[in-house]
Amino acid sequence: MELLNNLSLGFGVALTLGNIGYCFIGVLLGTLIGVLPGIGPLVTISMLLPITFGMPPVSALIMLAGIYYGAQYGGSTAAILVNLPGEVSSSVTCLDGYQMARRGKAGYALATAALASVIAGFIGTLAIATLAKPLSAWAIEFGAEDYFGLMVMGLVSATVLSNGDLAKSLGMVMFGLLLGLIGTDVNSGIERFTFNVPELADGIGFSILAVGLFAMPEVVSNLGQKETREVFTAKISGVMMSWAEFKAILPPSLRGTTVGGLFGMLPGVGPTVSAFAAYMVEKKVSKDPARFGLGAVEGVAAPEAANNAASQTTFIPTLTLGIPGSATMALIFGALVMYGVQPGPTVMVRDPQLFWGVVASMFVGNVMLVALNLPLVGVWVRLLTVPYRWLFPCIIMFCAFGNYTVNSSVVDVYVCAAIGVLGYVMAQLDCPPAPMVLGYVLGPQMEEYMRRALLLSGGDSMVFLRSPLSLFFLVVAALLLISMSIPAIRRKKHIVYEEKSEAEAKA
Amino acid sequence: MFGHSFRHKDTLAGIVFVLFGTLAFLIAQRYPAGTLLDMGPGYFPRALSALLVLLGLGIMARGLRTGGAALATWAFRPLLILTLSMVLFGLLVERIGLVPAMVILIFTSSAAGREFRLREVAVLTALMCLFSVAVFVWGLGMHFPLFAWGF
Amino acid sequence: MKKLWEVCAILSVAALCGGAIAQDKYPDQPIRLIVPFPAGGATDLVSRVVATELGKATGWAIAPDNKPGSGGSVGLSLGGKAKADGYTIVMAQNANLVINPLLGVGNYDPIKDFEPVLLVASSPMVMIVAKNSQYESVEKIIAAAKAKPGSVRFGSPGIGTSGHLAGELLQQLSGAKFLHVPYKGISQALPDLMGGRIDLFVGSAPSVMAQIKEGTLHAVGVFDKKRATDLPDVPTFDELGYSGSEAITWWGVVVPAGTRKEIVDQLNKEINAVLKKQETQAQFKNAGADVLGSSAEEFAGLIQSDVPKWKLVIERADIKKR
Repeated sequence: MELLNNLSLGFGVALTLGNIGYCFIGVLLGTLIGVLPGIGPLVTISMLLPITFGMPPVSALIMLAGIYYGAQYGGSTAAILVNLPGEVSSSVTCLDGYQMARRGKAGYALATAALASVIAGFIGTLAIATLAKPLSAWAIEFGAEDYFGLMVMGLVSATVLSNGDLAKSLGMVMFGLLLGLIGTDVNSGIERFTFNVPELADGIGFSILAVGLFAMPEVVSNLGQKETREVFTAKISGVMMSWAEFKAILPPSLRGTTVGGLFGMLPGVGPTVSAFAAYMVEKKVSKDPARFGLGAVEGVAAPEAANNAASQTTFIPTLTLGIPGSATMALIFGALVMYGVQPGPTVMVRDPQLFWGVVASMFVGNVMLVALNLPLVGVWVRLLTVPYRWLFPCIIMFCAFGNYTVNSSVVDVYVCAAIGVLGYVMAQLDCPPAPMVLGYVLGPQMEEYMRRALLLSGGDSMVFLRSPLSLFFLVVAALLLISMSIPAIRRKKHIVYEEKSEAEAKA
Repeated sequence: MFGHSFRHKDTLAGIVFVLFGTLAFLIAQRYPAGTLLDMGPGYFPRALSALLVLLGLGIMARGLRTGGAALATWAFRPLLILTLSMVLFGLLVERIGLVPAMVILIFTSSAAGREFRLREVAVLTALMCLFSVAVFVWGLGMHFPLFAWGF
Repeated sequence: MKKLWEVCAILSVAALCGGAIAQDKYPDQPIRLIVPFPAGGATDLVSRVVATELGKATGWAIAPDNKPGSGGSVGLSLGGKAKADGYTIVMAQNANLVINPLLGVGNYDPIKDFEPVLLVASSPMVMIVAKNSQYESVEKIIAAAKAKPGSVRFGSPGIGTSGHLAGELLQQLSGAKFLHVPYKGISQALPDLMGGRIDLFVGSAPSVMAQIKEGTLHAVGVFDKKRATDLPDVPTFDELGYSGSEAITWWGVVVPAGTRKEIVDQLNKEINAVLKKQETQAQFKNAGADVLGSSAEEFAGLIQSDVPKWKLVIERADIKKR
């Protein structure tokens, strides 16, 4: 009953004309930019962040969430039609989606992706609505030491499960943690690592780091490669699926939703791992696993559902614990802080309008996704043919001008350019940027919680092992690290990721 | 033999981590570390940068031992041009106004691509200028001088 | 298709040129209101209400510009250095205008670098405890803190904030010793307060009003001479025997020193008029802040008397300068 009351409060917020408008713009912009080759949700959000700063927080967050799942979905369209995933999480969709497109079933693949996403979106949103409250209530019990443990676990699991070398990912996390310390220390008021630049007194701006780390290196490396794309621009038919076709995708969508929804709630796991896991599950339950990689519709439905369900449920740790689960969530988290909303257990009590408004707007957004994507598929296909030489100057313009608008500060533009160079160098050295962003966001918080835990415990460092919750998180983190050093398990992880590249090679 | 190893990703990544870690550790010496009970602003950065240096050394050692993957080719040209065009935008925007700075930004960054078609770039520039001015200046009410002259 | 794009391009150039033509007479361009805190906070709210209502009343274009950082001193530093032409105005708060320079934060002088325009609003600091805390009154808190110094854990919204200094003031007046635990703001301290990991918190009334009304938090004392209108049952520290314990945070508009007198007067007149409007007052009251309005001289007097008062508190509390 309370749930209904809360949801109606949320819909009251989400269904105001203005917010429907923002949601629509978000989903539209997200899909539009997500479809464009070489620009994933991360880049999209980091580029569009400055636009949202002038808005009221609820509307801004509704629009950001719209951009997020719009871009996620647009990325799948690109994955199916061009075999070019917008984000790592939609790379699983490439495996069978692109094969379906090659076999003339592009319409069915696109419709499957849309419907599976919507089913997952609905269930995922319901999960947020029901679980967030008890989880928030539980989170009141978390002391500073428990938060510290949870953050350690989140950072470790994000590195262990990321598609990259463990040691380098860990290095990037620490690098990010250090970058996060730039600026004025909350406790003592001393400026750290600011090199007497007044603009750094408040730290490196979040969108500056994100744009520099994701958008710039991506443009540079894209320009360094040859532009080869094969687009299926032929008329796409079969978007309206038959009942039999729908029945074929329903069970895998539900399985994918379950896998994704559960994985998404764990801090540090996120959509990518969920999509891979759902694909694996589908392959295991299938009577004919040989079809996978050759255009099996389950291979599109399950990972798409998982990826979307996880995208929704990652909002749970972000909003209730204040711990972003993925790099994209870290972006949204950073934005929230800039709007003056501190995500955490109290966000539902302090900003019920914001919390439930966003939850409700996810329902609305999911409906809009279908409404936008299926009829407009022709438009998106046309967009795929936009040459990159038109796109990248616009991206660079957003990097420079977008960051300039945040504080009207040219120093921000220089910092962004410098981080872009750093980001490109690190990418060349196979050091993944996502753990760095997570570290950057969590760095100041981790330090704060560590200090406060020690202050309140009278300087006893055993406090982290004495609290059962903190102990549990730290043990899980340690086990994860140890397990990755065991060669057999490490090989298994590589197999999962390699399967993807093999399938790509086949295509 | 040794020089050869520096072309490997692991060795270089290790070096980058060690360099930044050392730098951070040295700077952090300026901030009081405090005690466990009342941690100063220097405590966490020192611990963190020390860990980063150790990890970097480990990655470096691994790279020197096993070689690791070789470096891919660097896209120096686009990197240089794009970075410079951003810096140029920063230098110009408050001196000659938003619109001219943006025109220069789009023209210079377009030069980073493999093809440069003047007509296309001109059209793109005009549209992007209008778009950004419409959204940020007219729409969101931020005020930047559109044209200026103030060297 | 290609033609169409080019026509669009030509039209955009024309539009851009047209938009750049300007007029004259103050204000002949948008006025930038520097808000030294991020969007969504109390200062932001106060600034936006003033900017919107002032825009409605006068037709001026007022652009709030959030410049947050180190307790507001980033925005104040920027404001102090801005051109004194009346097109940059700042929403200052006592914590950033007066207290931060005393702590060595921000390179500006509250008296030399700024011209006061008027006081906008104020709100008292409030001491709160959790709903079922063992410390349901100030007497119990002080007694416990005296019995075992450092056993009472006092949360504040950060070092050098009005909340922190109000707590220090009480410690000095009562002789009790708390363990100070700084937070970034109320939203982070709330779970610890409710979970019993800290015992009390001192924050501005608007930041805690919602929880007090909801019943999750309990206000034990108000740092003011008179009781707060929204909290008629909560005693003031004055009543409890700690005279001289007023800690009120105020917001006021300042402009860079050297701004022409006519401009300061014009701003003072227009903003004072806006503050008298019913709509403005309702919005402030809703947030738990008291609307003030004042002459420029009254505001200058307040700043001058605040400096020595807080200087003393800081010295006695031995809060280190940076």
